[in-house]
Amino acid sequence: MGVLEADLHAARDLTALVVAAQGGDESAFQTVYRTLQPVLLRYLRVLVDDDAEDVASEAWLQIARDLGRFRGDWDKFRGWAATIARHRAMDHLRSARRRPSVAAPAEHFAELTSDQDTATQALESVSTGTAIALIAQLPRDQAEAVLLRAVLGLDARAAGRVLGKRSGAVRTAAYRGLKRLAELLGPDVTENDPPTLKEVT
Amino acid sequence: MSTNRGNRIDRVSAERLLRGGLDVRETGSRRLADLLAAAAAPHSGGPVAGETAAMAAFRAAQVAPDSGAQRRSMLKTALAKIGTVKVAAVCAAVLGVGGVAAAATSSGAAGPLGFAGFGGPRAESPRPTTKPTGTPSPRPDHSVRPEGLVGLCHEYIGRDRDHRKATLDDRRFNELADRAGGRDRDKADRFCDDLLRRWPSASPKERPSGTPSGTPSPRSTDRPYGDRPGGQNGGQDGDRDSKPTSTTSARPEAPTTNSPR
Repeated sequence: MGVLEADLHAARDLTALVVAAQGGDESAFQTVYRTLQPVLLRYLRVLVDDDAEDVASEAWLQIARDLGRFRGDWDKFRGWAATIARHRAMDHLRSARRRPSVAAPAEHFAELTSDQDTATQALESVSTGTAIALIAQLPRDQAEAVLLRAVLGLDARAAGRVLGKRSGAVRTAAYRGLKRLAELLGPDVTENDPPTLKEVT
Repeated sequence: MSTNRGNRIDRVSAERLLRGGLDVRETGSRRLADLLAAAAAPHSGGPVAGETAAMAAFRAAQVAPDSGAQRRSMLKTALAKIGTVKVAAVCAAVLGVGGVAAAATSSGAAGPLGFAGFGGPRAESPRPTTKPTGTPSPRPDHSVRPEGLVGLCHEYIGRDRDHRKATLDDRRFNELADRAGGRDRDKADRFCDDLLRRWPSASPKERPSGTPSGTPSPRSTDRPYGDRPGGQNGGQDGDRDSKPTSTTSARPEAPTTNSPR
């Protein structure tokens, strides 16, 4: 089942769903899951790359367990879930003794900077997976700030709570990340856009 | 301000891009705007990864919200070993249908994640004051309260095998070792498998009045959001110390903080 982007912003409905799930409504929880999991996975990809699904699974076990203790609306719920996901990702990285930086295949970058396509493909031309892979190239604090804000839709303060930082630090990290991304992508000298890649998430 | 200046981007533009609430193409870098739009694009459809496991976890938490920590660790161990496909079966086992979960947890290597610091300190024997009545104890001739043992077994099974021996050596697990017939991992494994099969919940008296079931209910999943029970509280401002807004959840232990650690 596809999830409309508008769902992310239909805060009132989704808040009601969270409340219903807290009351034991299984289909409400399922909808919450289907709405949030795709973006949570994108965030986790930046942190743990291919292990994102495993870590997300860990996070959802905890979310399901602690759901009854959560208090707040949909915005807060996203931040809460992201925090849990991040903790599990950090556990994972510690236990794997691995660096979180992700080396995206070179072709991702080539694709994003390619000038061989037509402008008609516009927004749809960059696949989500490609975009996330490129963002994952950033230093982690920048990548996280960009993801939490642009993908999970958290404001700087909420993202700061997830990251344990002040909102100003999040703004700066996100700004630096965007600047770096813009440099990587190159100027808009032509109207050309990158070709389509298959959707990853 | 459509200054299409390529890779130049100022903080104001960055903020607008991140918010995504306006035409992102007016914010300086079209490529960047496209990239962010792609990153935030709706899910392309198709199944969402891990849903079976998440739903199983949700059901398990509904049946015994109080013993969620132990249950989770158990589920987690099982998950790590047998993969998400079989989670429904595991969950059924946890809920008393069979011994699959316990068997799964005792058949393999350690899970992929360090699990210790999760969720704060591990519970001591849960709720020593709640004594179940009229429920069969695995070994009624002993004095130890069964729910304490169940908690210990949950905790024990939740450890990976390499740590179980050390767990048995912990004085806190004396009861378990005594009841299992010694500080022997195999004996304790068997004992706990048996116990958890018969007594899946650490707090039987706090179960919902209906018979808990491990099988998913065939609910419609595409019901409109608006007709759900539970009321609306979308007006919440998201302050950290906001009061509880749920009217449907009245868990006795629920603190009002959302600290997820």
